[in-house]
Amino acid sequence: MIKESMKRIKNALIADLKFERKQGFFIIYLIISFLYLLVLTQIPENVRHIAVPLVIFSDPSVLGLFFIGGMLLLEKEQGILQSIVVTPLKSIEYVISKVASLSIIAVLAGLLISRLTYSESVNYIYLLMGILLTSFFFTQIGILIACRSRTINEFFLRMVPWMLALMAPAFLLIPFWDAAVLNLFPIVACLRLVYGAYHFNSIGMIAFQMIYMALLNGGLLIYTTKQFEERIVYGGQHGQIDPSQK
Amino acid sequence: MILVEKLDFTYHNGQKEVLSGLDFHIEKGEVFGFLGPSGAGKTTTQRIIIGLLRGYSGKVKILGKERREWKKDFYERIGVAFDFPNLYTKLSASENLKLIGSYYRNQEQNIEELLDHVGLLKDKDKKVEGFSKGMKMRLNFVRSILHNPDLIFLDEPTTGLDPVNAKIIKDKILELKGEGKTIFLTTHNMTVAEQLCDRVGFINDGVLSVIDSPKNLMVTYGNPMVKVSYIEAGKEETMTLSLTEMSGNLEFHRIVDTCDILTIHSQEATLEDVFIQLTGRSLL
Repeated sequence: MIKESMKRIKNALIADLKFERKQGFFIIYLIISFLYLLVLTQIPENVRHIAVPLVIFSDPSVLGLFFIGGMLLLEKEQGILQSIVVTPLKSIEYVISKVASLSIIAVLAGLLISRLTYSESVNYIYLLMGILLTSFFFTQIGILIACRSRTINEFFLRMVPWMLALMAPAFLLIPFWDAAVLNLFPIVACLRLVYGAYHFNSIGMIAFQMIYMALLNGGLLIYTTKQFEERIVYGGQHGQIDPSQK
Repeated sequence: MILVEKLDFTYHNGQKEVLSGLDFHIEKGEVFGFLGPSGAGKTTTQRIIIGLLRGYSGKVKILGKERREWKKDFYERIGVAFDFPNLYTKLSASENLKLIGSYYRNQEQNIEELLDHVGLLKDKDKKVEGFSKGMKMRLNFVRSILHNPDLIFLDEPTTGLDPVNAKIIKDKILELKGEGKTIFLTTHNMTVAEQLCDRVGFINDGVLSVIDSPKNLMVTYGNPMVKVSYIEAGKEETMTLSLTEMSGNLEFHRIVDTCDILTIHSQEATLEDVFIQLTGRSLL
């Protein structure tokens, strides 16, 4: 059972990576990463110490959110989702595969930028975990928004309030940089995780942030899968809504 | 294979029942056609049986189990081709099949052989975005059978196809029937239904009015006539008479004996005629 599920996730992941490559996502990521590199290498070393973690953090969060919207809505538009829901691929496997495919790109881009712009020591295990946990969280948020949207424009419109609500707590870090309670905001926990890979943080704090984000991602996975089922699988072409009443 | 009893369904935002008391069954190895105009409830019924709509009342037993009790492994046993070709347009034909095929346990079917069956072998490496509607529909059809399912759902399988492509699909459907597959077909094309279906059900406004073989329906509800064209005294004439009167009609015998017959055509009712007679609505 688990073996079959893993096989389906692997195949879905291959399909997603292929889809992303063919739709030009890799090229866009490469261009953005190149632009980051260009800017980061031009700024003074002391600013770069702060800028590199921030840029790397923005990759899986903001970009992941944008890309998943584009991906899901392209699949919706081409009708591919309709053909996928009548295969044995489970909704949770679909969601995991989507999240994993974008996380792989985020990790590769993050490692590349970090290697080329940051000369001092980096804890790559923290960095990897930071990028992955951030990517998982924001990509799932992207799936939730995309499930509610019919077009790319609608997705971007719906994304604004979500982004504001999720990103705003990060500004609390300016006056309260050390406040532990801010870790409860996912954006802060994720940002501090990535930042911790470059600037040592206490192991206890990092462990808390990792466990907290892992639990949050687990809960979000259950909710996202449920929403995907409600709005896409049983939403289908017309959903539970009478097409003539739309 | 499929047993539906007292099936009712209402959409969340609707007050009116979309399906009302549907009763039918489909035997193994049968091609069953669901005929009705747009909005009659064909696709809704199909989506309930496939498992894409919840909240129905009544019984929908499929492959020996109530639909609600099936999990995702249900899709290992069935194949679905929607009326709209849902394909990865940036991928080639064979890539499309390989990708979707990889989700199934059963991957014994030879992709090239399947593509060859529907005349797409030479286009297997071409991107689908450059395909015509007919090519996409054929690929869409092949995708629904690539895991060798026992039960196949086809929604308007020949829509938008030219006669040559439509024939390719129809022949393949008959071939599948010959292999013992069960096929549930929804269409508003009565010619397709006449040619392919063992039995058809007429649905209109969510109500099934009749289920029978196309032949029986045409005989039962039709009034078969014969039209004779002939030359008499250098002039073309026609005569129409009931099929049952033929043997005893003296005028008909006189014409056959003394005139040059041009054509004799039987004019039995079409499925469309029967549908209009039963529901008061046309199929289109």
